[in-house]
Amino acid sequence: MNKTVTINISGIVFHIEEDAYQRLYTYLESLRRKFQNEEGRDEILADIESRIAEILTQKKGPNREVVIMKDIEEVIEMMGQPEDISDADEKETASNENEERAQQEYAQRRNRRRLFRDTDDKVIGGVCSGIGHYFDVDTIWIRLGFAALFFIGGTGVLFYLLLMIIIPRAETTAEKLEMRGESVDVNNISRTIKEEFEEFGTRMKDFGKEAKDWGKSQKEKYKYEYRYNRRTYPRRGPDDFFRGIFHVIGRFFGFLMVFIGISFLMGILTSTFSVTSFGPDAVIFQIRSLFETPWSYSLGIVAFLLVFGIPTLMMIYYGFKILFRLQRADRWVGISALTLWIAGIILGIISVMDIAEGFSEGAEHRNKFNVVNAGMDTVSVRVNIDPDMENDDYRSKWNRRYHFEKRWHMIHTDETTIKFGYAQLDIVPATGDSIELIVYKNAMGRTHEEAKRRCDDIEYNITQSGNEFVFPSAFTIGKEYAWKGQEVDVELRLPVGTVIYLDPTTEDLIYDIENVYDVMDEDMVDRRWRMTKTGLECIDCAGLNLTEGKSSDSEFQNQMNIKNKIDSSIKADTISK
Amino acid sequence: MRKGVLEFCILSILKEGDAYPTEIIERMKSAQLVVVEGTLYPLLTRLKNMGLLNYRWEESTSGPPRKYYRLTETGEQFLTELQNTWDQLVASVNEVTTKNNTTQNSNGHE
Repeated sequence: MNKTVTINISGIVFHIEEDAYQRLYTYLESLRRKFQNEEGRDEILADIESRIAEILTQKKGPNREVVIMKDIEEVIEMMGQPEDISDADEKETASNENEERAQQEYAQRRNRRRLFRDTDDKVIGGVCSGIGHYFDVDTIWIRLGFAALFFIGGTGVLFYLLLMIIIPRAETTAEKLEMRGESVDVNNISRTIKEEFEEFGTRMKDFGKEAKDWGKSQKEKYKYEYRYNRRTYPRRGPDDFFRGIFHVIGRFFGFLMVFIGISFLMGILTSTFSVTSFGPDAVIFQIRSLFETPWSYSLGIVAFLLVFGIPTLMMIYYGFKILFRLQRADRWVGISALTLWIAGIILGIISVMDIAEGFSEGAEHRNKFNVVNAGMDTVSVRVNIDPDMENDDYRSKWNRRYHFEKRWHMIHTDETTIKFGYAQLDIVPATGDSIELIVYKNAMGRTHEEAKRRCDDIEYNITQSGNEFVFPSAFTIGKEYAWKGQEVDVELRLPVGTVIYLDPTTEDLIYDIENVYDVMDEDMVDRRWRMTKTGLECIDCAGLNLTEGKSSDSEFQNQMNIKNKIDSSIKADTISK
Repeated sequence: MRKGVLEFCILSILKEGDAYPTEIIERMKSAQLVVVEGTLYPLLTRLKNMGLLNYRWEESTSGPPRKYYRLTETGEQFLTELQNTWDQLVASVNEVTTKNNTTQNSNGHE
């Protein structure tokens, strides 16, 4: 019992025993080597293959379906061993010994395995099976790998298409044999590298001489000499010298390009397509908020993908070409890539200009809150904290402390998306002797009207109960898709002498309130303050220095400031008395 | 030997009528000019590339389609030239070898 393989020679299918197949493969490969420098090499081989198919068809009778070793031996006897095939031309060109040796080495290298797509064993384009053959790995693992990549933002799909374009299909029998050729193992690789270095060394030596000869030939008898040189030394000369350097370091760079390219690709795709899973306040969300409609957002995404994706894909493409030394006519690839990239740039510029235009006009809405004068002397300020909005991840302690970002937030509830921002409260001395509360709403737009409409859409309702002002935790911007600089600033004007209590909940509300000590906002809450002409003055800050046990530089600076100011105010008091 | 001789034979065979490689090889084999078939294919391709031959495809019942080769006009001209050269060569060689033989013979007699 023998295992058979199915092969296709010149369009005719043969079942052939495995050892016979190996024999045939070696034979065809040796012929290929033989006609290495022949002009019509592919045609000759095709003719020979066709003849072999004919002979084998004749041998195949109704009783015998399978081609066996004996058939192949007979075929080879008929066709002749490469040594028996007289070839006058080759003897002429190979007249010098070095040249002959170089040819043999080159031919050996050709015998190595090459990367092809195996369209005989394909699901889509035979990429996976081809890679499987190349690395001697069962195709199923490669397929699983691609399937896994598919889930990383669809990277697998793009990558597969790219490989399908780059890797040539195994068409002729010889190519199919090459696809399964000598395996790539450590020995081979080290031999390849050694050979490449040797070849490189030879080239280095020859280079000087060749360049000289070449230069000379340019001078004397330009046409004849030049042609002669080209013909006799087809693989040397200045061009090939640089190709030699390229080969030695090329593979490494090819690998690097593919590796970096794939990482980039994964990054680009995941950041684009899995945004929503990152939570509402990822940086990407803020970018999305710049667009006014979902449509213009998609346009922006396309521009982003083109501008960054195309160069990445090209990097992988050329990396692969270098890595596997694939020779392909690929002018159209470069041209279409460039076209797409330029289209991406243009789209990007349009998007950016569109966004910028949305900010061209500003509007401010000033609203005076009706303060019920309850005749009290201690006013208190509190924030009615909405638990939903407090859950916003983006509002980290760090952001809170430095008021890094007061705007551009979003939470998702079951039904809707609520977009909101945090208002800012400033407390200043009033000119008269009544409490005033003024709410400024700001927004931008394409036109003044649009900006104004956005201002009106902002909802921020402060309430007063007795001597307490209650602020909402955040303002909402209605159904608006985009953030266009919506802001709410509240100014509380207190007559001099009024005492105010800042509830701990106001820590995120107050912003840079003038006080006589330069105390940080976060230290101002949960204390009582009295309004003076220059700003708020602390009434129960006795504990402030004590509670500040930590001594970082800035805190130390604060303490020094407080001490100086208190000193100076005491002095001022004494002088005025 | 035979540089150019095989080409000459191929062209001569084709002058008698179109043929595909297997036919040509049979003729040459029977004349014991060629031992292996592999020799023929590069020669045919080379002659075709030189413009001396062209070919057409013909379906075959016993295998893949066959390439039927035919002499072109330049091919025929070239063949006539070759024929002349060959005749001359044969005449010259004959002359030399027969003389040689006679001298050798005479030497042997002495």
